[in-house]
Amino acid sequence: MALPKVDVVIIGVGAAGGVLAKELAVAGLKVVGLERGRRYSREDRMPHDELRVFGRFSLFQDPRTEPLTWRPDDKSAAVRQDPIVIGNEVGGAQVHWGAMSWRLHEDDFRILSKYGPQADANVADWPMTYADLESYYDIAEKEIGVCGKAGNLMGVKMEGGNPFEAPRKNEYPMPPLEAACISKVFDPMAKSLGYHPFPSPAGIASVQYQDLPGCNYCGFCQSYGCHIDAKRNTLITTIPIGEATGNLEIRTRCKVFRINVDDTGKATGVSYYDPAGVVQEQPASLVILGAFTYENVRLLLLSKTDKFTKGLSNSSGQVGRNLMAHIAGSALGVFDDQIINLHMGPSAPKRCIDDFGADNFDHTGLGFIRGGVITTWTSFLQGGPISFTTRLALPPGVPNWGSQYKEFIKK
Amino acid sequence: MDKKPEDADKLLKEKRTYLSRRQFIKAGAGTGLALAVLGTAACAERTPTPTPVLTPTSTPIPPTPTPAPHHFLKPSQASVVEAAVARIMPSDANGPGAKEAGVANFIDRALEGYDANLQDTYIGGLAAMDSYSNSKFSKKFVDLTPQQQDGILADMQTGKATGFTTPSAASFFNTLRTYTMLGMFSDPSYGGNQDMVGWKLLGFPGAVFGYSPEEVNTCAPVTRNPVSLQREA
Repeated sequence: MALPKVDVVIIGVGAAGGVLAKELAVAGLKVVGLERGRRYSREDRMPHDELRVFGRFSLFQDPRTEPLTWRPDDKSAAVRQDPIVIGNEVGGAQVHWGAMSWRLHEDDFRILSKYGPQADANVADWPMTYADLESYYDIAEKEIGVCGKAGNLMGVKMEGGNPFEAPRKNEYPMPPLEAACISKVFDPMAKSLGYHPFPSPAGIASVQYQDLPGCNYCGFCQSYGCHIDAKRNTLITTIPIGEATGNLEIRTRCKVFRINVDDTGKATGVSYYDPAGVVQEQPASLVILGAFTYENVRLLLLSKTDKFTKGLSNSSGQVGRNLMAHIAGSALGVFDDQIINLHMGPSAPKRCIDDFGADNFDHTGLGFIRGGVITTWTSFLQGGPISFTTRLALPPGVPNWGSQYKEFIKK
Repeated sequence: MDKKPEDADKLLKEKRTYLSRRQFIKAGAGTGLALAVLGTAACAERTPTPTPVLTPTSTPIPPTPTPAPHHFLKPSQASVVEAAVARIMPSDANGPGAKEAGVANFIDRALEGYDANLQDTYIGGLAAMDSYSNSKFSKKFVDLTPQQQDGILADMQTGKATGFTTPSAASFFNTLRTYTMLGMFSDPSYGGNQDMVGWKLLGFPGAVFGYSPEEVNTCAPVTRNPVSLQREA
């Protein structure tokens, strides 16, 4: 039997769902947030336990019960992939995120207009411009609590910030985090090459902000929940505000398996398994997919009906194509004369250059468009010795076991 | 009282300034978040650990006066694990290794708990190690010299070792190597990293609460003693 109808049901109460849950509840709509994971207290996030969190995925989609698999076509067998860290709790992946908080460049919104169609790639313009979004970026940076240094205030270039960033009306709500040790190595080198180092904008409180303390650099940062709530996420920012209205109910350990639609294709609600494994139907006027990309796609495809045989929202056939998560390459440097202390937080990039981002450099003869930020990054190693020893790509000639290896990692 | 569906639809329309498609998209995109994260899974509890299938032992386990410290591995299997991990992370001039850290104990406990799905991998892999050792040196792995043991492990890593089926030699080497690191560098409450020898090796301060800005900016090695969770195992 169906539950009483509500205005809005949100599938996944994380980085996006958690924001919408608050906005809609404050606007007076009755909102139900269905979250497959649990809700962790600050105490739950306390243990600085690399094996439990990083090694055993305590905060993530469990790769043993829900592995990621891949196959090139529907005739091949699905092969298990190395697990990636997909959020699985109220607050979503934002609980464990590395907290990088970028704005897009102005021309990111106009890729198709600027470059035209690209071979072997799908490019498109956004239906809005950076100027349309600027004030919302501003709101979001204040709501999330982003620290950083402006490089372009209303067109005026600011010393110490990113000279390539899109113009912003306001400074970041907080100054950047400390990054003295890596700056000592990175900044002079970058400057000597003519580049422009600046602090990474991060969704981490660098000083006390909205009654929550500033970062204490513990280093158990990306992949972990923050033990002092300096790392910002919807679990501590928007969700409590939404709940305080009385209009937002979050149901944890509830796994949506189908979006229900009528014959016109209009969503009428969702069906889900409750914590006891019992099927429940939650009707709603509006259904929001707030889950991770993979899960949103999976739900749309699983929700096919006789009338919508390719799944929902898929008249284009594009649902499930062009999937992308993070893409990054990394290189390791070992310094004989500098102590970096990479186990100290945060694990978000500390110093960056944007000289190779967007259209900030000469692409003549390169055969590609756009680019990326170059950062000093310890996120891949998550700052801990288990990730360091199990994920580190070693220099040529260094074996990955035995006394020689031990000598190398001691260094 | 629950609203009727018509009322809800009406309310949605009334909130149109708030919910116009354009603004709706703006609100979402304005968070600056590239991805919406979370989803639909695992409402139910984890599936229970399957009961381990034990292979019959070829030699009877001698009675011991004290309770055996092992949880899953038989003493003969545990000794192979201990010898192998002691070569992967040896005790040497740079300090204690995996044997001193109790890595074999860590693996044994993991196999009984979180990593119970690897029980067959270890049973098969350890047996194959002894078979290969026998075929090459006519001795069990634990009775080889350290150099001979290194040779066996190197053959496994490069896939040259024969007699391995499931897991393959290389795959089992990688498992042993990974678990050596897990046992060497995880919190001591999991049974390895005893006396925090792994953390001391790397100068890793352990489960610290945090650092002061002064510590962060000094850019000197951390000199405090590492701290563990000191949790009951």
